[in-house]
Amino acid sequence: MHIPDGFVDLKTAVTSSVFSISGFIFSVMKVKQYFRAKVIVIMGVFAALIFAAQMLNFTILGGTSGHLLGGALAAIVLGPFAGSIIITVVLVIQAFIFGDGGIFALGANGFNMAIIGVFGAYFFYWLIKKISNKKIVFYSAVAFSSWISVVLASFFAAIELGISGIYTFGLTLQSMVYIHMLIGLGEAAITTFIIFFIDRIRPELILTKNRGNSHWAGEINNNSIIGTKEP
Amino acid sequence: MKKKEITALVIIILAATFTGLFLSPLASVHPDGLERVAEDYGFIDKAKSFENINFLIPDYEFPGVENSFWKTALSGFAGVIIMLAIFGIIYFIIYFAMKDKNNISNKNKLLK
Repeated sequence: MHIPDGFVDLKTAVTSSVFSISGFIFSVMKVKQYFRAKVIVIMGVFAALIFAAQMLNFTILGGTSGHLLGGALAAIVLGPFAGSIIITVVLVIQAFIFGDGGIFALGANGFNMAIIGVFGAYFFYWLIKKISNKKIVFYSAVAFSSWISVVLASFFAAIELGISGIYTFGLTLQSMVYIHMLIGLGEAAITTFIIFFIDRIRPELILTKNRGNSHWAGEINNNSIIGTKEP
Repeated sequence: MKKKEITALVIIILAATFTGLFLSPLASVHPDGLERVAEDYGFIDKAKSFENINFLIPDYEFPGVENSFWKTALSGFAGVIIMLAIFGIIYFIIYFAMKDKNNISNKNKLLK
Protein backbone atom coordinates (compact mmCIF):
# COMPACT_ATOMS: atom_id res chain seq x y z
CA MET A 1 0.00 0.00 0.00
CA HIS A 2 3.00 2.27 -0.29
CA ILE A 3 1.87 5.22 -2.37
CA PRO A 4 4.51 6.12 -4.95
CA ASP A 5 5.38 9.68 -5.90
CA GLY A 6 3.07 11.19 -8.47
CA PHE A 7 -0.11 9.89 -6.87
CA VAL A 8 -0.64 12.63 -4.30
CA ASP A 9 -0.79 16.34 -5.01
CA LEU A 10 0.77 19.13 -3.00
CA LYS A 11 -2.15 19.91 -0.70
CA THR A 12 -2.67 16.25 0.19
CA ALA A 13 1.04 15.71 0.75
CA VAL A 14 1.33 18.75 3.00
CA THR A 15 -1.83 18.02 4.99
CA SER A 16 -0.98 14.37 5.55
CA SER A 17 2.60 15.29 6.46
CA VAL A 18 1.36 17.71 9.11
CA PHE A 19 -0.74 14.92 10.63
CA SER A 20 2.08 12.37 10.38
CA ILE A 21 4.73 14.62 11.86
CA SER A 22 2.48 15.76 14.71
CA GLY A 23 1.54 12.17 15.39
CA PHE A 24 5.19 11.17 15.44
CA ILE A 25 6.20 13.98 17.80
CA PHE A 26 3.26 13.26 20.07
CA SER A 27 4.16 9.55 20.12
CA VAL A 28 7.78 10.31 21.01
CA MET A 29 6.60 12.53 23.87
CA LYS A 30 4.23 9.84 25.10
CA VAL A 31 6.84 7.10 24.94
CA LYS A 32 9.32 9.26 26.83
CA GLN A 33 6.87 9.46 29.72
CA TYR A 34 7.04 5.77 30.48
CA PHE A 35 10.36 5.18 28.94
CA ARG A 36 12.72 2.39 29.84
CA ALA A 37 15.68 1.53 27.67
CA LYS A 38 14.50 -2.01 27.16
CA VAL A 39 11.50 -0.68 25.32
CA ILE A 40 14.02 0.56 22.76
CA VAL A 41 15.41 -2.96 22.48
CA ILE A 42 11.97 -4.43 21.85
CA MET A 43 11.19 -1.65 19.39
CA GLY A 44 14.34 -2.42 17.41
CA VAL A 45 13.63 -6.13 17.32
CA PHE A 46 10.08 -5.63 16.09
CA ALA A 47 11.10 -2.97 13.59
CA ALA A 48 13.46 -5.54 12.10
CA LEU A 49 10.78 -8.23 12.11
CA ILE A 50 8.17 -5.95 10.52
CA PHE A 51 10.61 -4.77 7.87
CA ALA A 52 11.42 -8.35 6.92
CA ALA A 53 7.78 -9.41 6.98
CA GLN A 54 6.81 -6.48 4.75
CA MET A 55 9.03 -7.93 2.03
CA LEU A 56 7.03 -11.13 2.01
CA ASN A 57 4.31 -10.50 -0.52
CA PHE A 58 1.66 -13.20 -0.59
CA THR A 59 -0.62 -13.83 -3.53
CA ILE A 60 -4.31 -13.27 -3.17
CA LEU A 61 -6.74 -14.07 -5.94
CA GLY A 62 -6.44 -12.65 -9.41
CA GLY A 63 -2.74 -11.98 -9.71
CA THR A 64 -2.64 -9.51 -6.87
CA SER A 65 -0.41 -9.61 -3.84
CA GLY A 66 -0.36 -8.11 -0.42
CA HIS A 67 2.04 -8.00 2.45
CA LEU A 68 1.99 -7.42 6.16
CA LEU A 69 1.82 -3.78 7.22
CA GLY A 70 2.56 -4.57 10.83
CA GLY A 71 0.63 -1.68 12.33
CA ALA A 72 -1.53 -3.92 14.48
CA LEU A 73 1.41 -6.11 15.46
CA ALA A 74 3.42 -3.09 16.56
CA ALA A 75 0.48 -1.59 18.45
CA ILE A 76 -0.36 -4.81 20.26
CA VAL A 77 3.20 -5.60 21.27
CA LEU A 78 4.36 -2.10 22.17
CA GLY A 79 1.27 0.03 22.56
CA PRO A 80 0.18 2.47 19.86
CA PHE A 81 2.72 5.22 20.55
CA ALA A 82 5.88 3.12 20.41
CA GLY A 83 4.21 1.11 17.65
CA SER A 84 3.60 4.20 15.58
CA ILE A 85 7.25 5.21 15.98
CA ILE A 86 8.58 1.92 14.65
CA ILE A 87 6.24 1.88 11.65
CA THR A 88 7.34 5.45 10.87
CA VAL A 89 10.99 4.42 11.04
CA VAL A 90 10.32 1.46 8.74
CA LEU A 91 8.52 3.71 6.23
CA VAL A 92 11.27 6.34 6.26
CA ILE A 93 13.97 3.74 5.62
CA GLN A 94 11.90 2.13 2.87
CA ALA A 95 11.38 5.48 1.17
CA PHE A 96 14.94 6.78 1.43
CA ILE A 97 17.05 3.63 1.09
CA PHE A 98 14.88 1.18 -0.83
CA GLY A 99 12.87 3.57 -2.99
CA ASP A 100 9.66 1.91 -1.81
CA GLY A 101 6.88 4.46 -1.38
CA GLY A 102 7.38 8.00 -2.56
CA ILE A 103 9.43 10.59 -0.73
CA PHE A 104 6.90 13.28 -1.53
CA ALA A 105 4.20 10.78 -0.55
CA LEU A 106 5.90 9.81 2.72
CA GLY A 107 3.54 11.96 4.76
CA ALA A 108 0.54 10.24 3.21
CA ASN A 109 2.04 6.79 3.73
CA GLY A 110 2.92 7.69 7.30
CA PHE A 111 -0.61 8.88 7.92
CA ASN A 112 -2.19 5.74 6.47
CA MET A 113 0.09 3.13 7.95
CA ALA A 114 1.76 4.64 11.03
CA ILE A 115 -1.18 6.70 12.29
CA ILE A 116 -4.41 5.12 11.01
CA GLY A 117 -2.95 1.62 10.71
CA VAL A 118 -1.55 1.68 14.24
CA PHE A 119 -4.02 3.75 16.25
CA GLY A 120 -7.00 2.35 14.36
CA ALA A 121 -5.81 -1.16 15.11
CA TYR A 122 -5.19 -0.36 18.73
CA PHE A 123 -8.59 1.22 19.17
CA PHE A 124 -10.42 -1.93 18.03
CA TYR A 125 -8.02 -4.20 19.90
CA TRP A 126 -8.64 -2.23 23.09
CA LEU A 127 -12.37 -2.16 22.49
CA ILE A 128 -12.71 -5.92 21.93
CA LYS A 129 -10.30 -6.83 24.70
CA LYS A 130 -12.53 -4.97 27.15
CA ILE A 131 -15.17 -7.69 26.79
CA SER A 132 -13.32 -10.21 28.91
CA ASN A 133 -9.94 -11.67 29.80
CA LYS A 134 -10.55 -14.88 27.90
CA LYS A 135 -7.90 -16.05 25.46
CA ILE A 136 -10.41 -16.32 22.65
CA VAL A 137 -11.39 -12.69 23.14
CA PHE A 138 -7.74 -11.65 23.12
CA TYR A 139 -7.08 -13.48 19.85
CA SER A 140 -10.30 -12.18 18.31
CA ALA A 141 -9.14 -8.69 19.22
CA VAL A 142 -5.75 -9.38 17.60
CA ALA A 143 -7.24 -10.81 14.41
CA PHE A 144 -9.98 -8.24 13.95
CA SER A 145 -7.78 -5.24 14.72
CA SER A 146 -5.17 -6.45 12.19
CA TRP A 147 -7.81 -6.91 9.52
CA ILE A 148 -9.50 -3.56 10.13
CA SER A 149 -6.17 -1.70 10.23
CA VAL A 150 -5.45 -2.69 6.62
CA VAL A 151 -8.96 -1.85 5.47
CA LEU A 152 -8.88 1.55 7.20
CA ALA A 153 -5.41 2.34 5.85
CA SER A 154 -6.50 1.46 2.30
CA PHE A 155 -9.64 3.56 2.70
CA PHE A 156 -7.60 6.59 3.68
CA ALA A 157 -5.06 5.91 0.93
CA ALA A 158 -7.90 5.83 -1.58
CA ILE A 159 -9.36 9.05 -0.18
CA GLU A 160 -5.98 10.77 -0.53
CA LEU A 161 -5.63 9.67 -4.13
CA GLY A 162 -9.19 10.80 -4.81
CA ILE A 163 -8.61 14.22 -3.26
CA SER A 164 -5.44 14.50 -5.32
CA GLY A 165 -7.63 14.10 -8.39
CA ILE A 166 -5.88 10.99 -9.63
CA TYR A 167 -9.23 9.29 -10.20
CA THR A 168 -12.85 9.94 -9.54
CA PHE A 169 -14.27 8.43 -6.38
CA GLY A 170 -16.86 5.72 -6.48
CA LEU A 171 -15.88 2.49 -8.11
CA THR A 172 -12.14 2.98 -7.59
CA LEU A 173 -12.55 3.68 -3.90
CA GLN A 174 -14.73 0.60 -3.65
CA SER A 175 -12.18 -1.64 -5.41
CA MET A 176 -9.38 -0.32 -3.26
CA VAL A 177 -11.25 -1.19 -0.06
CA TYR A 178 -12.53 -4.55 -1.37
CA ILE A 179 -9.10 -5.71 -2.41
CA HIS A 180 -7.67 -4.76 0.96
CA MET A 181 -10.46 -6.58 2.76
CA LEU A 182 -8.85 -9.69 1.25
CA ILE A 183 -5.29 -8.59 1.93
CA GLY A 184 -6.37 -7.82 5.50
CA LEU A 185 -7.12 -11.53 6.01
CA GLY A 186 -3.44 -12.22 5.38
CA GLU A 187 -2.51 -9.47 7.81
CA ALA A 188 -4.82 -10.98 10.43
CA ALA A 189 -3.41 -14.49 9.91
CA ILE A 190 0.23 -13.40 10.11
CA THR A 191 -0.28 -11.05 13.07
CA THR A 192 -2.26 -13.64 15.01
CA PHE A 193 0.40 -16.25 14.31
CA ILE A 194 3.23 -14.01 15.51
CA ILE A 195 1.32 -12.91 18.61
CA PHE A 196 0.42 -16.55 19.34
CA PHE A 197 4.08 -17.52 19.03
CA ILE A 198 5.28 -14.73 21.33
CA ASP A 199 2.49 -15.47 23.78
CA ARG A 200 3.73 -19.05 23.98
CA ILE A 201 7.41 -18.31 24.45
CA ARG A 202 7.40 -15.05 26.43
CA PRO A 203 4.00 -13.46 27.00
CA GLU A 204 5.42 -10.52 28.96
CA LEU A 205 6.94 -9.22 25.74
CA ILE A 206 3.41 -8.34 24.65
CA LEU A 207 3.34 -5.14 26.62
CA THR A 208 -0.35 -4.35 26.14
CA LYS A 209 -1.65 -7.76 27.05
CA ASN A 210 -2.25 -7.55 30.75
CA ARG A 211 -3.04 -3.91 31.09
CA GLY A 212 -6.34 -2.64 32.31
CA ASN A 213 -8.69 -0.64 30.21
CA SER A 214 -7.74 2.74 31.45
CA HIS A 215 -4.85 3.70 29.25
CA TRP A 216 -3.25 3.42 25.89
CA ALA A 217 0.39 3.69 26.66
CA GLY A 218 1.53 4.98 29.97
CA GLU A 219 0.68 3.30 33.20
CA ILE A 220 1.86 -0.22 33.31
CA ASN A 221 1.34 -2.91 35.87
CA ASN A 222 4.04 -4.39 38.05
CA ASN A 223 4.54 -7.52 36.05
CA SER A 224 5.16 -5.66 32.88
CA ILE A 225 8.59 -5.55 31.36
CA ILE A 226 8.73 -1.78 31.61
CA GLY A 227 8.12 -1.62 35.31
CA THR A 228 5.97 0.72 37.26
CA LYS A 229 5.98 4.44 36.99
CA GLU A 230 8.08 5.92 39.73
CA PRO A 231 6.00 7.58 42.42
CA MET B 1 16.21 -7.50 31.37
CA LYS B 2 15.66 -11.12 32.24
CA LYS B 3 17.62 -13.82 30.47
CA LYS B 4 14.50 -15.51 29.18
CA GLU B 5 13.31 -12.26 27.66
CA ILE B 6 16.63 -11.80 25.91
CA THR B 7 16.45 -15.36 24.58
CA ALA B 8 12.98 -14.70 23.19
CA LEU B 9 14.14 -11.48 21.55
CA VAL B 10 17.12 -13.27 20.01
CA ILE B 11 14.73 -15.86 18.58
CA ILE B 12 12.64 -13.07 17.04
CA ILE B 13 15.76 -11.43 15.59
CA LEU B 14 16.77 -14.77 14.06
CA ALA B 15 13.27 -15.18 12.64
CA ALA B 16 13.44 -11.68 11.15
CA THR B 17 16.86 -12.38 9.66
CA PHE B 18 15.69 -15.69 8.24
CA THR B 19 12.63 -14.02 6.74
CA GLY B 20 14.64 -11.15 5.28
CA LEU B 21 17.34 -13.43 3.89
CA PHE B 22 15.69 -16.62 2.73
CA LEU B 23 11.96 -15.99 2.49
CA SER B 24 11.91 -12.55 0.89
CA PRO B 25 13.27 -13.83 -2.47
CA LEU B 26 10.34 -16.24 -2.61
CA ALA B 27 7.76 -13.48 -2.19
CA SER B 28 4.92 -13.07 -4.66
CA VAL B 29 5.83 -10.87 -7.61
CA HIS B 30 2.26 -9.86 -8.38
CA PRO B 31 1.38 -6.17 -8.05
CA ASP B 32 0.08 -5.24 -4.61
CA GLY B 33 -3.44 -4.05 -3.88
CA LEU B 34 -2.78 -0.41 -4.65
CA GLU B 35 -0.82 -1.19 -7.84
CA ARG B 36 -3.58 -3.53 -8.97
CA VAL B 37 -6.23 -0.84 -8.56
CA ALA B 38 -3.95 1.70 -10.24
CA GLU B 39 -3.51 -0.66 -13.20
CA ASP B 40 -7.18 -1.54 -13.46
CA TYR B 41 -8.26 2.07 -13.40
CA GLY B 42 -5.46 3.30 -15.60
CA PHE B 43 -3.50 5.61 -13.38
CA ILE B 44 -0.42 3.45 -12.72
CA ASP B 45 1.59 5.47 -15.23
CA LYS B 46 1.20 8.56 -13.08
CA ALA B 47 3.63 7.01 -10.61
CA LYS B 48 7.06 8.50 -10.86
CA SER B 49 10.18 8.56 -8.78
CA PHE B 50 12.77 11.22 -8.30
CA GLU B 51 15.30 10.66 -11.05
CA ASN B 52 18.10 12.46 -9.26
CA ILE B 53 18.02 10.37 -6.11
CA ASN B 54 20.31 7.38 -6.01
CA PHE B 55 18.74 4.98 -3.61
CA LEU B 56 21.21 2.83 -1.73
CA ILE B 57 19.25 -0.35 -2.43
CA PRO B 58 16.71 0.54 -5.13
CA ASP B 59 13.63 -1.73 -5.34
CA TYR B 60 15.04 -4.18 -2.83
CA GLU B 61 17.78 -5.20 -5.25
CA PHE B 62 21.19 -5.17 -3.69
CA PRO B 63 23.50 -3.26 -6.03
CA GLY B 64 26.28 -5.17 -7.76
CA VAL B 65 24.67 -8.57 -7.27
CA GLU B 66 23.56 -10.41 -10.41
CA ASN B 67 21.83 -13.41 -8.91
CA SER B 68 18.14 -12.62 -8.49
CA PHE B 69 17.83 -14.67 -5.32
CA TRP B 70 20.78 -13.06 -3.61
CA LYS B 71 20.06 -9.49 -4.59
CA THR B 72 16.71 -9.69 -2.81
CA ALA B 73 18.11 -11.78 0.02
CA LEU B 74 20.93 -9.34 0.73
CA SER B 75 18.60 -6.36 0.62
CA GLY B 76 16.28 -8.05 3.10
CA PHE B 77 19.24 -8.80 5.33
CA ALA B 78 20.48 -5.21 4.99
CA GLY B 79 17.05 -3.91 5.99
CA VAL B 80 17.00 -6.03 9.13
CA ILE B 81 20.50 -4.84 10.06
CA ILE B 82 19.56 -1.19 9.40
CA MET B 83 16.52 -1.45 11.68
CA LEU B 84 18.52 -3.04 14.49
CA ALA B 85 21.29 -0.47 13.99
CA ILE B 86 18.94 2.52 14.21
CA PHE B 87 17.43 1.42 17.49
CA GLY B 88 20.83 0.24 18.71
CA ILE B 89 22.21 3.72 18.14
CA ILE B 90 19.25 5.29 19.94
CA TYR B 91 19.83 2.90 22.83
CA PHE B 92 23.46 3.86 23.17
CA ILE B 93 22.77 7.56 22.84
CA ILE B 94 20.38 7.30 25.77
CA TYR B 95 22.81 5.08 27.67
CA PHE B 96 25.68 7.53 27.33
CA ALA B 97 23.52 10.58 27.91
CA MET B 98 22.57 9.04 31.21
CA LYS B 99 26.15 8.11 31.99
CA ASP B 100 27.38 11.65 31.35
CA LYS B 101 24.84 13.05 33.71
CA ASN B 102 26.39 10.73 36.26
CA ASN B 103 22.99 10.27 37.69
CA ILE B 104 23.38 6.71 38.86
CA SER B 105 19.94 6.21 40.29
CA ASN B 106 18.31 7.69 37.27
CA LYS B 107 20.40 5.55 34.97
CA ASN B 108 19.67 2.37 36.84
CA LYS B 109 16.02 3.19 36.75
CA LEU B 110 16.19 3.72 33.02
CA LEU B 111 18.18 0.67 32.12
CA LYS B 112 16.45 -1.70 34.48
